[in-house]
Amino acid sequence: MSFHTPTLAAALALTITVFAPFTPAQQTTKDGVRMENAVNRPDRPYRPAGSSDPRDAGPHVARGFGKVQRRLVYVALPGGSAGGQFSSEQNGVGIVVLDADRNFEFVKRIPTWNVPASMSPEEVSGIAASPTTNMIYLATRGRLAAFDLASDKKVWEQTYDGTCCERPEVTPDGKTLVVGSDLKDFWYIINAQDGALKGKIQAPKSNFAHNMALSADGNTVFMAPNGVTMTVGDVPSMKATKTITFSDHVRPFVINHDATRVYANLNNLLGFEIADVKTGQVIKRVEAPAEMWKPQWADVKQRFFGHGCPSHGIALTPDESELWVVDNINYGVLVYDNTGEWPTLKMTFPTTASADWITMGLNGQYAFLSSADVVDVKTKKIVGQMKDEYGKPMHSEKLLEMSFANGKLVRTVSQFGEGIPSAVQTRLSARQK
Amino acid sequence: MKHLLAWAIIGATMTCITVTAQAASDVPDFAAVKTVCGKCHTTAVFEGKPRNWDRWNDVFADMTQRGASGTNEDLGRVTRYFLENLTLVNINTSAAEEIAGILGVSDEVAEAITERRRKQPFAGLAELRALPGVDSAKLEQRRSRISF
Repeated sequence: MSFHTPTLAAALALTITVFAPFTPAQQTTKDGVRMENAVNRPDRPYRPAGSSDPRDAGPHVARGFGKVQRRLVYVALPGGSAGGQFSSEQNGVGIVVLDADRNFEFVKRIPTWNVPASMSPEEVSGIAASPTTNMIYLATRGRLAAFDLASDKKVWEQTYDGTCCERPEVTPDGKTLVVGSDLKDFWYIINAQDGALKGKIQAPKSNFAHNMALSADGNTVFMAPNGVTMTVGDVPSMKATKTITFSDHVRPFVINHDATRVYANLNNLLGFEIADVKTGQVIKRVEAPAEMWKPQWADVKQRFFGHGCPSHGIALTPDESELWVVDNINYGVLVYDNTGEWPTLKMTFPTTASADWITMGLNGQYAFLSSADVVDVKTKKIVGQMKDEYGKPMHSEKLLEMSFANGKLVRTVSQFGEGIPSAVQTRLSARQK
Repeated sequence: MKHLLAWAIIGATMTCITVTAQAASDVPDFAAVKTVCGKCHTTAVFEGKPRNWDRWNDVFADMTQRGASGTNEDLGRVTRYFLENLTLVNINTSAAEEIAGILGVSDEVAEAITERRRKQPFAGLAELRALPGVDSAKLEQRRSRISF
C-alpha cells in the first residue's frame, strides 16, 4: 500500500494517533486499572487507586449554604400609642417585618385585614407566636387571628362571643392560647391550631381584663384587670386559684422564670411593687427617687404622661439580672439590679420618645421599646430604630423577635419581658463557679 | 480512500472534543455558579477576588438569606468552583477539607498534609509538591492563593 499525497498520509497518521488510546494494550490507567472500571469523565476525572473522590459521597455543599436562619422582628400595627405623642395609626395596618441581622431594615408588610379608609382600624391588643404551630397570633379588640409564618396567610379568625380579645400568650407545647376577653372578667382558653374555644377562666375579682402573663410551663396564668386585684388561674383545669391585690391599679407587669414573683407597674407610681405568688401578698414597693418624678406627677398642668401613669412598661432581662422600668415622666428607662434580695436602681438611660412597653428579644441581646428604639441590653445604647417602609418610626407595643430556619419558626419571645428558666439557670451556675 | 478520509475527519473531531472537554473540566461548575449566583448579579462581582473559606461561607450565608438557592448538585458545584478557583488557603492552618478542595487532592492526601504539618509546618511549595498525591500542575496554577 502506498500513499499518493502527503495529506492523506497525515490524515491516516492522525487517525492512528486518535485511536491509539483505545487499543487494548493501553486501556488501563497508569496504575493498572482497566479503563472500563475507572470513572473518568471531564466533570469527574480519574483519581489514582487508593484515593477517594469526595464526589462519590454526593455533592459537598459549603456550610454557608446551610445557614438559612433569619432573625426577624414582627411589629403589629396599629399596636398602641407612645404616650399620646404619636398617632398609633400613623404606620397603617398590618405586620411590619424587620431584619434584626441587618440593622432592622424593612423586610415586608404582611397584610392582616382590610379596613376602609373611612374607618379607624382596631388596635392590636396583643401578639404571640408558636414554633409548634408555626403561627403568629394577633388579638384585637374585636377578633383573634392566626397567620401561618411559612406563607404569611391567615389561617383562622374568630370573634367568639363578641367580647374578644385582649393580650394572648401561647403555651410552650403550642396547643393552647390563653387570651383575655375585651375588658370583661374572663380569659378565653383557645385551641391554638384551629381557634376553637376550649373554655374560659372566670375571674370575677378582676373585671376589665387587660394585661396578662403565662408561666414558662404554660400552666399558670396571671390575669390583671384595669383594677387593683389580679387573678391567678390554672390553665389545665381552667380555674381561678387565687388573687393578688396591689396598692393601686395594676398596669404592665411581669413574672419571673418560675412564676413565684410578680413585678407590677401601678398607677401613680414611678417604680413597681413585688408580689409573692405563693402567699398572694405584695412584699415590696420600689419607688424611683422622688425628685425624679413626684413634682412633675403632682403638677396638673403637666402634659399627659404615657398611658396616664408615671410608668407603663416593665421587663426582666431573660436571666433576671436586671429589671427595666419605663420612665414616662422623663422619657427614659430605669434599670434595676435584680441580683440581690431586692432590686436596686443602678442606672437610667434616655429614649427618643415615650417608651410605653418593653419587649426583651432573643438571648436578651436587644430590648425593643415602643418608642421605636432598639436597645443593646448590655451597653444600654440605642442601636436601632424600628421604622416602617416609609421610614416612619413605629410606636407599637405589640412586637416579637423571632428566629427562623428554612422558613420555620424555631424560637421566639413573649411580648412580655418575663424571666426565662434556662437563662436564669445559666447565670446562677456561672455565679456559683 | 474516501473512507480513510472520513475516518481521519472523525478522528480529528473526537480529538478536539476530548481536548476541549478536559481543558474545561470546571465548565459544569461554572454553569452552576451562573445558575445559582447569576440570578441576581454577574459573576464579575466575585471573579478574581479570592477570600478565605470562612469569608466565602459568610457570603454564601448572606446570599442564601437574600434568596440564593439551588439543587444540592448545583450547590455542590458552586462549592467546588469557589474552593478550586477563588479560595485562599494557608497550608499550615486551614482545615483539611479546605486544603482538599483548593489543592484538588483527595481527603486522604489532605489528611496527610495536616498530619505532616503537625510534626513540622510546611516552609513552601517545594515541600508540598514533594508529597505523594499532590498535583504539581494544580499547585502551580493556584500558587498565588496558597500561603504557609
